[in-house]
Amino acid sequence: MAKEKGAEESKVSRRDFVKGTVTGLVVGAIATGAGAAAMWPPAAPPAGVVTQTVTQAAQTVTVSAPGKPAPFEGKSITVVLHSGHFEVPWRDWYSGPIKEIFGVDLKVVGIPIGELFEKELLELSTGTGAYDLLMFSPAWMGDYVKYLLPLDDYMLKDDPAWGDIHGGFREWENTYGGKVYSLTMDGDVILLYYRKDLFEDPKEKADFKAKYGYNLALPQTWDQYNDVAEFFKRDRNGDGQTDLWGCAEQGKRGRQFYWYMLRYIAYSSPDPHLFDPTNMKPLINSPNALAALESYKRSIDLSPPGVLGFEWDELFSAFMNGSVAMMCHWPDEGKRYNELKDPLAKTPQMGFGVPPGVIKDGVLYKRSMTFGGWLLGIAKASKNPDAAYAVLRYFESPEVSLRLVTDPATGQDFFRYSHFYSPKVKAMGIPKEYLDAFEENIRLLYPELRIPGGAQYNDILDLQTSRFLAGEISAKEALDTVAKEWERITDEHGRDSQLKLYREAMGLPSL
Amino acid sequence: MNGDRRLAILLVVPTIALLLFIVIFPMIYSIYISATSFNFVHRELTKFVYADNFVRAFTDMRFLSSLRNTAVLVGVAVTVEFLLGLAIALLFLEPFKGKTIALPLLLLPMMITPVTVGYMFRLIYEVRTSPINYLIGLLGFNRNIEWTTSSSTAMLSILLVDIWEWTPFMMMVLLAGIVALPREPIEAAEVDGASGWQRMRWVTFPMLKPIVAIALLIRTLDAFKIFDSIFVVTFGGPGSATETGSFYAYLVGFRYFQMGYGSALSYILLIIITIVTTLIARRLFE
Repeated sequence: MAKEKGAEESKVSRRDFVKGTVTGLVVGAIATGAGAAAMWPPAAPPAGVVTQTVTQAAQTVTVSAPGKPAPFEGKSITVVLHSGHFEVPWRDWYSGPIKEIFGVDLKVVGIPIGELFEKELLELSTGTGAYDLLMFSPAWMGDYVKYLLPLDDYMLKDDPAWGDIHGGFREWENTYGGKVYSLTMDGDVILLYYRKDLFEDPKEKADFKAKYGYNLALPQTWDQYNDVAEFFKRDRNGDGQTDLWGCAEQGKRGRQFYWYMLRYIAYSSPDPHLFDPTNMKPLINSPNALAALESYKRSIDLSPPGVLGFEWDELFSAFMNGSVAMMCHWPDEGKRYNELKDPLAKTPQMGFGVPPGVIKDGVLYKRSMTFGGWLLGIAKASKNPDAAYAVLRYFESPEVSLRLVTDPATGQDFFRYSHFYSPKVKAMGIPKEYLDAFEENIRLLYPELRIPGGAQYNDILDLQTSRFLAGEISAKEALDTVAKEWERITDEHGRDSQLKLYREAMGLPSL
Repeated sequence: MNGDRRLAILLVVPTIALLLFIVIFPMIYSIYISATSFNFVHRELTKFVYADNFVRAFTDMRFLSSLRNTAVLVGVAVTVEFLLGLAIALLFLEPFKGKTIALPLLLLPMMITPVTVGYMFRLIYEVRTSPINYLIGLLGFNRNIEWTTSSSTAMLSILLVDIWEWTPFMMMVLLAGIVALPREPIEAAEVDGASGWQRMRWVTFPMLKPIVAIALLIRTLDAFKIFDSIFVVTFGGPGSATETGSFYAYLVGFRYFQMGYGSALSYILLIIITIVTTLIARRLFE
């Protein structure tokens, strides 16, 4: 009997269980709410008092007087950035001046690059207003634009030196559908780098002319690029191993499609498009697209072994350690021109240019692309848009941005005319050829795909071209598959809507 | 309700609340969105599609290819890890000089975070500076093996990473199991004249079956979910040579933001792994 009684007492009834669970949930919710309430709103900073210390002759007099309040005293702005070096200027250099000048408390949130898109979109799509200023890639504009505040009205009242931002960035990064949604903070383009010392060597010139029938020079077409790459691929020290390759590409699955796109845009000139701008049919499997892919494959075959595993670091190292004669890459190497090494060359020298193009009907068509790069925009749901714009304008101003783009620690590249022509940049000794090539690239910019689903369109292209390069499928099969998948994605998003947004992204008038 | 019962309920309630919020609710919600075309970025595209996502998965050649890659990876990796782990565990049964130092050193790989292991191997596999290629070159073979960039060796590269990292886990579980076995049946078999192999095959291994089952189940579950090393070393490439089911589901859900379809893929993977582990458990626990 005692045993049975003990067994009954240890059994928990259903009613007790439910009561206990509900109690736990309510207690948990109250605790969470109390915790959140304790942290919000943040305490307002004390009113500003300006203290001036005036030294008069032999005595020091300290005068204190109430100062003019900063325009956004008590406001708080949250800026979200790619974590790492991009955060440093905001957090360590300028949060103090921003507080002094604007009265704004700046909160800096750093997110790893792999999560930036998802986390920003989560906040934007839920409209919480948690982020005021956002750093984002131009390729994301199609997905972000409906959540961003147009800046036109602000710019009319308080010009951010808009005309000083290079035209290519203004047109292809910051503007969408005729409105301005961002300001460039990192002006990435793709430059052609080459070994100037090899190209200018008289013996190399003579040998190249004898073999190919034209002069060795910076390649103007992709066919010339492949010829030069073939020419320079050699064993220089006679050990039976190739130690110089003519070119290298960033061939790793993930974003190698950028290097295909450089060729596609040239081969599809004079009016390159990824989609027919009248009906949104993909043009990615056209004869021009096929020719571009075959040209790219030839470049890959002339690249060092393992090129299909090259990401940024591997390609950078391959060129900077002297084992590659040419490559197309972001502007970073140019600022580190004096780090170029080659154990088998006396004086390795870096040269700069625009990626090659294609000649059609006697006309040379060359383009560069806005791959990468970073923009700053204001969230529509921001609770302090005026303060956010003031901070944005300050940070993007010619004076502040000049400091950022000339400091290698920030990782930011030139994007204003004033950057290229500033005495500070001249004094840094950066080669004029680099600056000229950089500006020429901006002038020839072609935008990334900036419509909703952009990441998916791009990844399909990357996967299928990667499969072709790896020898899994033919070029035609790869591009036909891309076209078919792109049609499916377009239908999922709505063909009419995608067509309208594609035309807006490309600066075309509505149909 | 007496005090003891009340206390018992109060102690259990926080865990139940946590489970509800973190496990049960997300699971129910993910089942719901797997029946929709939910797009995280473009929610205006969301509508009920019922079983369309599941039907689509079975006509999606890329998903089917990823399942094939997963089967190869899981089958080969778990088998090799088991055999190698067992061999090393048997070695550690006998005393030898340096055993106390060797054992913790052998466990090091599984203590390193998978992402770090991935970056380490990415450097090791870099064609021109690869120490493996250098050693192969010293033996007179071709030293330019493109480990991660050739379709024929990319999967092998991922397998080597997984085997290097997780064989110590197998070794540790099997060693613990072997050491805990009763000695009497083994000694009796030895007295009866059984050879070393016969004792292993007919006495030790049958007693070890439950431990083997647990080790295989845990590793199979883990290998099925492999992600970090693929993300860092090959990103599913070259082409789609190393794209596994879990990696593809990640791309669909977190790169393309098609969370409805991604959820459906995840549930299909869940069903597959449940069937596989059930079969393993039944076979080894019977």
